[in-house]
Amino acid sequence: MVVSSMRKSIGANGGSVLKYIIINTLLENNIESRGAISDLSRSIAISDVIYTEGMKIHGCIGCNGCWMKTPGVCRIKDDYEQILIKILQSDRIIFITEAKFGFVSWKMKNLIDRLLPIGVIYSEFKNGRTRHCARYKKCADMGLLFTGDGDAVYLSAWMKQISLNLCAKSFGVFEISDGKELCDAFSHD
Amino acid sequence: MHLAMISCTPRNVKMSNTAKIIESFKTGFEKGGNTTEAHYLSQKNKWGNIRDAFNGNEHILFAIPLFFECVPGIMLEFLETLEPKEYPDGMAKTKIGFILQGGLAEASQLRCGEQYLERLPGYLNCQYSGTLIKGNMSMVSMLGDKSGEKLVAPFMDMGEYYAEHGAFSKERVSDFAKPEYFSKGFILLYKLLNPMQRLFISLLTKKRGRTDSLKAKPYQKYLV
Repeated sequence: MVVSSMRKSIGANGGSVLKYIIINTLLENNIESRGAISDLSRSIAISDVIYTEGMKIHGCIGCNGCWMKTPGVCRIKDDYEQILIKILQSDRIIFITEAKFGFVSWKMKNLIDRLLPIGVIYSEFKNGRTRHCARYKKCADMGLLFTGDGDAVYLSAWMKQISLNLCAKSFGVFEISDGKELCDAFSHD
Repeated sequence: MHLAMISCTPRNVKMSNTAKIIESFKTGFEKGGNTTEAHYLSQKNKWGNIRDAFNGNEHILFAIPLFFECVPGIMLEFLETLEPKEYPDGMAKTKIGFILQGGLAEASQLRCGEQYLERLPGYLNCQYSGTLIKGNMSMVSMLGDKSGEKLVAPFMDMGEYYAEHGAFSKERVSDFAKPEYFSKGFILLYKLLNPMQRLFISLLTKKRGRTDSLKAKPYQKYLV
């Protein structure tokens, strides 16, 4: 696992500021990714960049153990737990991924699928639709940058839906070269 | 018609809701002499055979559990091992249909995933032959064989329908998948009965060896 602590989440006046993390399935030396992170870090205080390449992260096996057997804890023992803790500690997540077939890569989808322990098996109605209840009081809001064969319109709709399910907010999906637009979305909130 | 069915759940076949749906669908599809073959992506050592099935068949059905509003990572991993199909005359012949099932009951929960599947065959140079969506399927394995079979029984008719038409029509799917949303009256009733449902889930999971409260917050200590 490579985690770079780039900047502390402490404001100039000593007060706490929003904690941003980046979860990146691209290689650390990927030029587009480096450029995007550099651009982002000019506008927001990024506390951690997590490069998942080289980490041992299994896909969700759909056992529902994190809901029914060991509530809140995934039964797969790999490197994902440390990412889940970082996610829970953050206010905003920026996912960076390659896109294939118009969607995120399987590596990124595996990371998203493993968010299941954040919810509980119980459901409730919210805005006329059933939703699984949140396990924790807050879940980080999120945005996504992609490189490659992505369908930004579909990805934006998808990210909005998963954010709703996690009782969070989507700041949108943009091509990796448009990271500034994501920063703008953050700053307008 | 011969149909290659590919289950895209990571869950093992024995415990898989998707596998039970495939079984029911297959029974209907095979009426009248049609044939099928079934493959399971959870069996990763057989992905070579599954790729051969994808490349060697003109009628393919992916059966998928909804994971976070779309297809599971394991399906994307498999798709990334495929090449778009090529045809001597340049005309896409292979037809891909989908079954997309989810745990929450309303059809509206599956529409985001359906939108992705509408586009997917194009990336593989194949034709789209519709998506059959259905919610409330998470209980299939939980309820045991007999009650679970009742839940998947309607897929038999849809198997017969698919064999006859070669595609799922939007109208037929919407009828099969309803309700799109619950009525206000149902929501009120649900809220009244929700404590009983929660008690049932709590007792069931406790009986099956649950180790903590269903609402436990095991990582709360990290959140300061």
